[in-house]
Amino acid sequence: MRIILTAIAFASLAAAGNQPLNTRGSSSSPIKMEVFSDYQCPGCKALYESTLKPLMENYVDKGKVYMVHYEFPLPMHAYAIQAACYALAARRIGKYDQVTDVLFRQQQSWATTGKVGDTACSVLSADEAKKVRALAQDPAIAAEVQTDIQLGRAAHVDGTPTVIITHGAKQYRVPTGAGYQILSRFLDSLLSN
Amino acid sequence: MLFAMSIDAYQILPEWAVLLLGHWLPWFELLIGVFLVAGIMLRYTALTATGLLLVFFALMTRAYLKGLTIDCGCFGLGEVISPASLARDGLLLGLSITLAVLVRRRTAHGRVLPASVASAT
Repeated sequence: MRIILTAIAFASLAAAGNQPLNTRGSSSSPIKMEVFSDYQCPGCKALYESTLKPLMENYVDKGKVYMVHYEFPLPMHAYAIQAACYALAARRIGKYDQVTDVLFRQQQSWATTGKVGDTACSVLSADEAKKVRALAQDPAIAAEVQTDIQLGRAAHVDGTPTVIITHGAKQYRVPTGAGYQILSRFLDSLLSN
Repeated sequence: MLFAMSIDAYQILPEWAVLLLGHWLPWFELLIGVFLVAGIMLRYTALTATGLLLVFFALMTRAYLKGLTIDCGCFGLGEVISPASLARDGLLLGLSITLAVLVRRRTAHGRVLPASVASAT
């Protein structure tokens, strides 16, 4: 029942024009992986660094998995929305990967000091940083974050990180904390079906 | 495979052991459950259930204290280890210990020993 409701939620939001924007890989890949993540969440940092990075290299970039990333900043994290805005702003100038990487790598630092912008812009040139700082204040970017949150709520996402894998008509929620090796075995088993 | 991923999240076992447990543990738990409900070899079944719950509870507590944000793997997917899940599993462990002690007391008094075993002793 939960899976059906999730599928209906995604289908109806897509039909309403809320197509996912933050994607990686080919949409014709046999497996779709949706990741709901919060830059200030330690579990999301672990997922990104130890699972998603090798997965992008070995599955997404090789056309096996289509990845959709949703911003899902949790209310308990004071700077999570700001971080999501900076990441989406960086995507507009083609620097999403670099900013995502530094935000997760230096999570502990900016989560304490609140210097999200400085951290995000530390991997950009002066000109890029100026653009990203301006874009991060753009209400359209904040609206994108809210759309992602709305999509997550519709899909009954109640925590981060949440990973949903779709293969054919079947959907699977990946247990939080699963490592890359076992996850890759699971993906291989789906791909061989 | 999804259950194996839950086990893997605890970060204590090598991949081969994760896969082995992921495959066989649910069936073993089911067998223990059926034996408990049916009262088959109750003394040993209650002890085994207590041992299993003790291991689960210890691993969950360890993961929680280490600050791991991982799935409990207890009753399906999507339940992250929290004080609530620890309290529930602690309660189950308490009930299991109570059962094991009660069964032991009863068998010690010779009331539930099978007739064949009782006559042999």
